[in-house]
Amino acid sequence: MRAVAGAGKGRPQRVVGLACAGLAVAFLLGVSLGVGSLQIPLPEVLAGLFAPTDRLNDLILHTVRLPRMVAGLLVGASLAVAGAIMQALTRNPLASPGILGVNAGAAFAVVTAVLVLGDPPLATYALFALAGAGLAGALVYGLAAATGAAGNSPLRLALAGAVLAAFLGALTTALLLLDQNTLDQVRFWTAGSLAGRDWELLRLTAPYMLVGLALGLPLARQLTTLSLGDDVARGLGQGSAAVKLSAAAAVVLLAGGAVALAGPIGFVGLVAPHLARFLVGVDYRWVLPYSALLGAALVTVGDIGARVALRPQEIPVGVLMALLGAPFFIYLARTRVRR
Amino acid sequence: MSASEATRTWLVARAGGLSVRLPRRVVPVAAVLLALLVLAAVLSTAQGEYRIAPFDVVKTVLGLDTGDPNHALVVRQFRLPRIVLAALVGGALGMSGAVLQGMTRNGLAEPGILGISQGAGLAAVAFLTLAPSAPGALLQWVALLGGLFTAAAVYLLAWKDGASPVRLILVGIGVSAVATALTTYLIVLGDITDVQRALLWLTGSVYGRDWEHVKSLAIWLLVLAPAALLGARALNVQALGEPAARSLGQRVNLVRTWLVVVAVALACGAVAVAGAIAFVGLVAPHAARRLVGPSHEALLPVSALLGALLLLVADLIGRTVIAPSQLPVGIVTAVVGAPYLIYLLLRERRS
Amino acid sequence: MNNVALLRRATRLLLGVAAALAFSSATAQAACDGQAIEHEMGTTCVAARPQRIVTLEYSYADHLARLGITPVGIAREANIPAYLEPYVGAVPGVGTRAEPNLEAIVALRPDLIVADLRRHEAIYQQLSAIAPTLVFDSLRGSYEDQLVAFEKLAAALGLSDEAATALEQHRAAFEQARATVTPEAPPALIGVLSPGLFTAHSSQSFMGSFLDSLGIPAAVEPRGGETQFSLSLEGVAAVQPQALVLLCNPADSTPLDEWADNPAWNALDAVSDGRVYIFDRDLWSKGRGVIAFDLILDDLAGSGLLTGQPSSTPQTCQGAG
Repeated sequence: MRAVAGAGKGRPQRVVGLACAGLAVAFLLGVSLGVGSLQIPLPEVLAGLFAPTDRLNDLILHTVRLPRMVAGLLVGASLAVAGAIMQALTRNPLASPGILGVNAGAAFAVVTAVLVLGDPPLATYALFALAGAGLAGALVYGLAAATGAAGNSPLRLALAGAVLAAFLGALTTALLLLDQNTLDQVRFWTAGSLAGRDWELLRLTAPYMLVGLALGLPLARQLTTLSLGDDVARGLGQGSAAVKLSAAAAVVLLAGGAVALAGPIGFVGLVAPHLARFLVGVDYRWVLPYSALLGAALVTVGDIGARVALRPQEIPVGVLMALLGAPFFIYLARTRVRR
Repeated sequence: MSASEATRTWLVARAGGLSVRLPRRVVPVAAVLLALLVLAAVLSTAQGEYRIAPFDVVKTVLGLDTGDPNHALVVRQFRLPRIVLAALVGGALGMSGAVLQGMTRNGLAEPGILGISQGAGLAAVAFLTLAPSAPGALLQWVALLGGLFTAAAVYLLAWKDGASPVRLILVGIGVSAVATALTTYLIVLGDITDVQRALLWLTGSVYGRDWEHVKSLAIWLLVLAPAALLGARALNVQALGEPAARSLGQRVNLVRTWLVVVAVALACGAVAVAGAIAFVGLVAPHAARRLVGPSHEALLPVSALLGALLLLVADLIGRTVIAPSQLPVGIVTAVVGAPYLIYLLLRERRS
Repeated sequence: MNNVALLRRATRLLLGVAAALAFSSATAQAACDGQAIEHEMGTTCVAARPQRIVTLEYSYADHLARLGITPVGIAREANIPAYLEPYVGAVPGVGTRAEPNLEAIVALRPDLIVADLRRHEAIYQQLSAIAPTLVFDSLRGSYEDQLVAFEKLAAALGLSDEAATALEQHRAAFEQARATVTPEAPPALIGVLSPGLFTAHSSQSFMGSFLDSLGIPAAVEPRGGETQFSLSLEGVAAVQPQALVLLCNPADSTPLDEWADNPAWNALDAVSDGRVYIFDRDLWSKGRGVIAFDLILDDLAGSGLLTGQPSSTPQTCQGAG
């Protein structure tokens, strides 16, 4: 198996690799702070960060760019870790929050909330997103199990997720059509974007993602065994129902929290774990932190691109991620999936 | 055409060099479905904001004068084209879904899975938001081209010594995601009125359709439906799995290409005229299978009939439930279709 | 049938069709005993003095109200612009503006239908089968386009004189407003606030050109061919606006709710100078009729925008309208 190739690398190399990845991410974050409708050169960014003045650029930096950057960091890391956990749990290289309809579930729940409650406070957005994410995940498993004899073949799960996403997407569109105001309110959000994410929203949604990370990261060892097969896990006395449940809970918190903050963003949870496994092999004690950093990097790059590509129009970052990630998905489908 | 004596469950018909074997159930099932279809059509024709007595409806359809000149207008210009179109679209989608499910041996396959709806949707939304002053009559053709082009792209990308159903579906999901992302982009940044028109199209609707639409789809189906039916036997062989099919002498790749082309063309024709209607192509074949079994000579026509019936009833519901406003037919199919699908799947699992 | 015979048959057919077409158009022209009105989809013969009119856009209801006419049916959503309530609040609805219910229109037995080019082009044939239908560019048309539509509608109703008077009055009010513009009045960034979005309207947009004709230029030009585009807080800051014209609905939650607390927003010149003028979005963008235009001029007169004075309009969306 190709993934094992990385297993030969020694511990020091991985640590160095992690540090490099960390530095790269820090650099990207710096760039992210400088780029936008107002170009702020790097020295000014640094000065503004540590010695803020009353000038417009510094105000923009602290109230607009900084929360946006932190949001991107958190969302990227959360989605990537969620994807990595899903791929281990289901032993399915194609699993990710977007593909499996979890994002669509959260989005649908939020649209329903807006339609029904009119103008819900931000905290309600987050709760609905979480509930939607959890329900969707459960439904996808049910659908996949129901249409096949047994097991979660890559195809069945992906298909079940696509069907669910299509269904929820249709319902969401239906709701949006019924009321032009809801449409107005929600259409930007459903694309997945980091625009306008401020400290307030971060304060409300970050706890979910942080708890999810706290829940998921320690499960690394068990996840490694699970990813090698249920029998292996049982033989080693691991892979108990409690572990699976915790992992699932972590996924729901991570994906739900990310969607609550930034709307549905796909493909990060798919691409980042694959890149991580390519670099460090199959040991989840390394895959998870690498995924988190790579996910953060991906979303940050995407956000920079979203601001710069069609300046001054901002493309929603979810759109960009899909445009980048889908070809990767197709590549995976062609190479990694047996007939 | 002579019907030879029926064996225990089969009906065999021979003509010239052709022979067709159908489960005996098909005849009563098809008859009932056809009757239901006619009934639904009649009921639907009698429904609407403009009150017309049922007797007058019948007279108007038959071309007789009823004293109110508006009757002919309402029934023949507004209601009938929608109803006939709904039936044709439903039939096309049902048949397309049956072909795809048979070919991929997967119960969750439907025309949308190959990116057809999303590709057509992208083309339509782009047309509506980027070229809003262009003549509306072009929308149909733009959507058709979009769907065909996307399906071709999916097929080519999935081709690796042939198009395995698994890869086809997965690549279809990937390409759909790209199309959906671009569509979302256009929706987010477009003018709200154009976006509303685009969304109405995306949901699937037969509002305001006239006889021109019916004509173009009818011609399209006249060619494609027989083509699909001809592939029924090949589908039966495909259902046995690839190794078995090859050992039976079938040229698997050729057959698959042919089947995909037919299914895609059927679906694209329907989508071009009525937008991306969800779930008919998914649900109709499932229900059909439970009525007449897996033999495709029976499954294809019955799926078509069921699809037609489904969409006709959905349109009726859409027109009456929140009158005078109308629910696009795609919303009704989504709301009703998905839970029904889940129910079907759960029942299938138990049995 | 051989080729020659086929050709002959085809030719005869074609000639027959051509003759029929010529004949039908001739008879059509000969038969118009009312008004032949030219509009976006051609020329339509409207019978003299239509009594039962159905409008499919708010601007037409507005125009009719100005002429003292009440339509028998209007296309509407659950909420219509508040200023139209007294005029057409009780008129039966015929479905939404996006999808009017054709049968509901038939049931009203209209003798004139007025539709929008962008929204209703696809159902024009069907509308024409019900009653003579006039189509104007209400949604995308410029300020002048709306006034031309007003004149043509009045002509169809035989009320050209009343329309001329109304237009004179309106133009006088317009000139009056223009006369009050002082050199201190800076260019304004026009923004429509909707949930989640700040949409900047450039000089080429309807509102931009309206204010421009008055003497207040728009602060942004079209970008990338778009006359309207969304801006984030950063984008607004990058424009460095001297004055802000914000349009929103009282019931909506908009980015302004968050921005109002943001020090970056308050550091903007327009905000710190008190030049933030907030108006009712429905009136300004959904009305587009003569009454709406007069009301907009009233709004402007007291606001301080034209004279460059600090704003005397409400400073939150909730107060607008």
